[in-house]
Amino acid sequence: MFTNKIAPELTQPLWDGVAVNGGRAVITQDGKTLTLAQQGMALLSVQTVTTAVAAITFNNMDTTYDEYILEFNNASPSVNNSNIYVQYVTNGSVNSSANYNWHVDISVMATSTVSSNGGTSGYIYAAAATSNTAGWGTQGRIHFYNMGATNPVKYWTVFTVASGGQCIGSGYFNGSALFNGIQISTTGNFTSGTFRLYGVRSV
Amino acid sequence: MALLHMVDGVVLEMSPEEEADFTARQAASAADAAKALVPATVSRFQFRKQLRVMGIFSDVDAAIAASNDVDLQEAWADATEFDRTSPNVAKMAATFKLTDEQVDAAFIAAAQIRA
Repeated sequence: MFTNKIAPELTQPLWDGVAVNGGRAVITQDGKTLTLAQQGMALLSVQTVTTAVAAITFNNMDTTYDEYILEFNNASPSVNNSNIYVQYVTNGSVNSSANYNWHVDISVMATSTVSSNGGTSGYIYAAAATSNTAGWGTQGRIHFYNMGATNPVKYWTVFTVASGGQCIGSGYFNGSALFNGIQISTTGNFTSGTFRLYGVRSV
Repeated sequence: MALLHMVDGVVLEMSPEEEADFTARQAASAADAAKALVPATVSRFQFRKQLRVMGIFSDVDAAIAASNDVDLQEAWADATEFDRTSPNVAKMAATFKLTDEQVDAAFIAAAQIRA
């Protein structure tokens, strides 16, 4: 007998090809099954700044997910007009090697101009001209690809907005290092901000 | 007192090695931070007007005219916008002994000039 574990009051499938198997909803189509719980975006961790900290680290990022997304809201630095940077982490150790190849285009609010920046550095350039005024924190997200793998290049994309500028960028880490975490930092401390890490799985 | 960082939701003191890494990153990123707001290009009007504000327009004009650099002369005569990373801008900066920081500041100021 069919049991709908999402809506137990239903006694029959919502539609043909959808069933519950092992507590997970599955879709069967053309002889293939897709387990819904194994695809899509999952919230993995939330870190909220309540005490000023110089950096925030997320660990346990591996090949479980095809892509990771770091989303941050109202991230404020202690030093006005600072940038935000991200670095890869291996077993708790930050990778500061000059293998981060990055490029960002910054739409500068004050002048309505675009500043095009690039370089090879020891970090990911993630946000510019952030404000330390309460309520004016930086918002944005960064996508990370190929975490937890050695051979593929580790790509990232950046979409952030601060009071002074909007940042759109991308880049890659040129090297075979295996990373299982990221660290986000700014100039001085973060005095506020909520940082959420999501995993995105395609199968 | 050691710097603090948050690791998987727990606030911890950085170890000396972690603090050294963090301080090194801060120093390395300072130059990029300074460049963040430098516009890639400014218009011909903005560029020339900024040179007048700096009081060197006539000197730049004369120096370019006296040079044997056809590329530089054509850029000065015909360019509709000036690129911060242009070799011609670099040539004139060297001629007038302007530092990178001074040229960056000039481009930032030029971008705020409205025709």
